[in-house]
Amino acid sequence: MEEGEEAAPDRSLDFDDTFRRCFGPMVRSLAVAAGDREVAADCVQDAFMRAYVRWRRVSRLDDPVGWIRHVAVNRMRDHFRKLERGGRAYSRLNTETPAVARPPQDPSELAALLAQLPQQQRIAAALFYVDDLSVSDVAQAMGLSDGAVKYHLHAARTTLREALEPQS
Amino acid sequence: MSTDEFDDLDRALTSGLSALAPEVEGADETLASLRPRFRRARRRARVAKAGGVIAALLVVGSVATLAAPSSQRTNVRVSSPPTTRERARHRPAVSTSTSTVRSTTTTTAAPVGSPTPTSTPASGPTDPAHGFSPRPPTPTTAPGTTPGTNQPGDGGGSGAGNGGSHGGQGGDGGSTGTTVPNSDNGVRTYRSDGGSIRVRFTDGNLSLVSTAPASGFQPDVRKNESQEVEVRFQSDHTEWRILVQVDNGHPTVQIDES
Repeated sequence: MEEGEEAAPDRSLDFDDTFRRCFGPMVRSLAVAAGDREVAADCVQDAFMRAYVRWRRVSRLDDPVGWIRHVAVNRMRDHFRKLERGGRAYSRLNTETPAVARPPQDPSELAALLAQLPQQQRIAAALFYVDDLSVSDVAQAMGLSDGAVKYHLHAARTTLREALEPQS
Repeated sequence: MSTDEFDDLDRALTSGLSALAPEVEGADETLASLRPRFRRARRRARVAKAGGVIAALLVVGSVATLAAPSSQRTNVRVSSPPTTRERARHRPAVSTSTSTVRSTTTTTAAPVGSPTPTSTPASGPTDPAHGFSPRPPTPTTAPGTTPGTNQPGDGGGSGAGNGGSHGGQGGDGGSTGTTVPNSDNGVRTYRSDGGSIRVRFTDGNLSLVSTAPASGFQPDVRKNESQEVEVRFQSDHTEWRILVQVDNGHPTVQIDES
């Protein structure tokens, strides 16, 4: 019993450290991808909750943070999928589409172009530029190959260059 | 486009997109607020896992119970007496079957060439005048459940192993025990606590078909004649007698304990 009582705080400590270290950066990058801080925070919280439930197994992985990020990205994809289904349903009803795809909070040209990107390009760009991940880490988080991530990054950069060329 | 231009663009995108990212502070407060939710989720997961394990064990146990051989079910099947028609078809010389439920030993005598306990042919025309008109060969699955439409005053009998239904038969004029008419060829079963016998009544003649002593009893065929059949079942403490006689063309039975 003493071993279990001692082991539980150790696992909790590791989880707490991981949460404190990674929660903020994940929310920041996914907020750029989702265009909504609350949605990003919900996705990351849900990913951490799943990690907490099975922390004994997740903590033994080579990259527990990568696992959590992957779950968070999948949750955000689910969110996008729900939005798309809702939009299609409204279009079938010939009604005005509600503002499920929120306009960017920052009305800058870069934010406007970012909102127009496909979700894969948005996620790849957000993880690569905001979270400062490598291409392989982005590929792991998105469940794609490195080549596919490079393709999405190239397409995103080509689109966003339009907004940044006068500055650069 | 040179590499420096790409780097500049990357740096511009990094700064621009990072400027769009909101500041996230208070990870400790967020973690503290989320901790009850995390614990509830872990509790739910454990409950679900335990429930799944219990359900799996229940399913495995149920399947194992159903798949395991049941001696009781086998005994119930054995205790159902074979019909005379089936026995006449197979014509065994002497067959003995043992049931573990009541330790019942059934001795079946072939109608031809068998000295005991019968010498009557297995099949033959029945005598409607004696109230034993032939019935359609519907199989009797449980003693006592066959309606006695052709048996005048038949008490209907009771189930196998009924030890307290003395006097349950009326039409045969007997005093105690249980009479269960079989559906084929006038074979009737008379039961007592010491055992039961099967007697065929055709053409005004009796013939003992089989005896089935109860557990702890030994059969003793005292008489096996055309007008009188007497069988006793003896144990260490008691003795049951089943006496079947032909009286005015009708079989009468007397079952008593001594």
